[in-house]
Amino acid sequence: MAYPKRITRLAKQAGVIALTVVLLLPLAPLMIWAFSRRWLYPAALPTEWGLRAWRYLLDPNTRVLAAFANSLSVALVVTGLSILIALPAARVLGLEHFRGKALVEFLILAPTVVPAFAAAMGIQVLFIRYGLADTRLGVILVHLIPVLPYVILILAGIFANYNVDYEHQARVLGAGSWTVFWRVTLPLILPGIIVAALFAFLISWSQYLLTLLIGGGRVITLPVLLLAFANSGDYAITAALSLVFMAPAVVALLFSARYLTGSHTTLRGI
Amino acid sequence: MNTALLNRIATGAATRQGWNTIGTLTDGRQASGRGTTRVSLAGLSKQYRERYAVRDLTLDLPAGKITALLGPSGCGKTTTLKMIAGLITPTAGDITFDGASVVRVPAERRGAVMVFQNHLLFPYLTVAENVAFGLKLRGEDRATIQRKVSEMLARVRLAGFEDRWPWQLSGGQAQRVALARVLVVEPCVLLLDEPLSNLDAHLRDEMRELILDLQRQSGITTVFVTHDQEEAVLLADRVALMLDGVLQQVGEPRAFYERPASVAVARFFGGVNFLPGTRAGSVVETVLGSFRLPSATQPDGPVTLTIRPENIRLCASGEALDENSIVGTVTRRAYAGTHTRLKVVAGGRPFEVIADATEGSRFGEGDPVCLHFPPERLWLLPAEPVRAVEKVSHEG
Repeated sequence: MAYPKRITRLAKQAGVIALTVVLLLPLAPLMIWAFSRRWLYPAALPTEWGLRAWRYLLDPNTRVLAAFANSLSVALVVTGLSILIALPAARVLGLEHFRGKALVEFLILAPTVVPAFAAAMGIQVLFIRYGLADTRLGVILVHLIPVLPYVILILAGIFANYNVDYEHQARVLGAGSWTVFWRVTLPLILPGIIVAALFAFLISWSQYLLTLLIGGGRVITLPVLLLAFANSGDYAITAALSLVFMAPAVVALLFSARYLTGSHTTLRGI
Repeated sequence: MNTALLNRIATGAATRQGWNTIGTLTDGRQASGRGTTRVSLAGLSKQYRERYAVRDLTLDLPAGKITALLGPSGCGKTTTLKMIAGLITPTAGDITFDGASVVRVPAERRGAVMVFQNHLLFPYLTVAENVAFGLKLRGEDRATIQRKVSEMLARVRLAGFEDRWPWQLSGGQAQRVALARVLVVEPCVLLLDEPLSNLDAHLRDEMRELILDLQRQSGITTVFVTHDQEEAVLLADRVALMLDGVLQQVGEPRAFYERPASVAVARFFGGVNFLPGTRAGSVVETVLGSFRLPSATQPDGPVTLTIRPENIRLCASGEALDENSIVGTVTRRAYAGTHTRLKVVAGGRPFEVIADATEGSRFGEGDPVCLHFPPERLWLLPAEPVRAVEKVSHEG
């Protein structure tokens, strides 16, 4: 009983180290592959090291940079659109009670149960008819299918704990509808919006099948390219591409950790 | 034999009408140009599907006075307040400020500013930024805003709290910041929703005094909602009692104790002694005998006779039976420090008496007692069942 504090601290440190190892260990082969030039069986480590894969990724003549830009722009637009579409829906679901609300909630959640691929198969026909197939806009629209349920769900949860009287207070103090939105509603729900946006971004960023189906091989995003290289057997480039693909997720995770832990800090942090 | 409760009401009224904290007469309240808006509600109703939250409410809120909207929860008083603020659109009726209809004026331009039950300070703004919220919307320059915010915070006794965050404040402090945030924009009408209900008892007195002081200084027409009749009586110049969305009675606080309009009103203000009877001239005939009234002004017919528990006089049953007296038995005696409460059954009917402590101690449980109802303390109510909307204004 003389040193419980020290023991807890040691246990905590050991835990953090264990967690880091568990999370980072799978990445080790990727790191090694990404910097290898020649690695033949049965060598434990590459026999030649090099930056061939990274040079390839950054070469403007390859499609890698374009795919990165595609992925980024699609994910960002999907994120923005999904927040815009989800906000009014989430507000009504979180604040109002109406007949058929359970049905509406079920229908909104349906895409999380039914594979988006199934829906996209049918949608593809429509998209072809309207000239949306093989276009970036088409890919953006089809990404909204798996993204929207999560964004609406997260924001509806925020609105369920939201006190509309804050808006009433601002109005009687002289704020019009837009002022109320910008200076009261938005700051109050900002933590929720940030979390929802991170989810939206990551879901869109990691879409493969839907992009392939609607993009028809013309809209190349990182996951599409990644799978192409994985199939080709060039492990160095695949590994380097995987690391690039993971980067936004890691950044998003670190960023969201701040907002996901403790509602007080989120409100204070603004 | 005046009782503690009535004493307190009387003193409260004297404080209200006599002087403010500075010691000058409160007649100077009209000095400030703004805030002395007369508000009138005419036939105001709010209907949700079949249910009326407020029904046909006609009420004048005199300029520069504090009016209490009193009633149990769910009686439509907060709805009324939000309709005055412009946050709820009435389904029928009109609201006028100084004679001009404001029903079509949106909340943000109406100038009737509401303080909500929980302070609702914006958590992402400091105390100073919260108070400055309305001023910034009015486009005032930075220096003016800063000066007004400091002045206002000083007036609610929170000077130096500018840079605090809402979560660093106690409940009472947050409520005062909320009040400052509203008063700093110099509204024409101040609306308070249960301003004291979230506070501890000792903070309540302090807040009540602060509201009275601020109202006296600004002379702003004030309406506050409360479910607590004592709070209404202590803070308001005028009280409007609502039950089930319907206005029951409007008047000065005393009227609700001395001249209630119905059994329901009397009950809400602690009336417990009711005796059905028939009036003929200046006499009411009841099952317990006849009671003489001081005068004969109302029409004859069925009535309910009432007397407040503190106005019944006790005498030993052996003493000569006066008129307006009945004999009963004490069934319960409760000593409450400043007074004693007695429950008496007379002729099979229960009565409650509040006597002063020594007077009450003369009678123990089971003792016979004589209750004397002084004619000038008797009050007649419409006979039960009381459904009729009786509006009695005893003011001016």
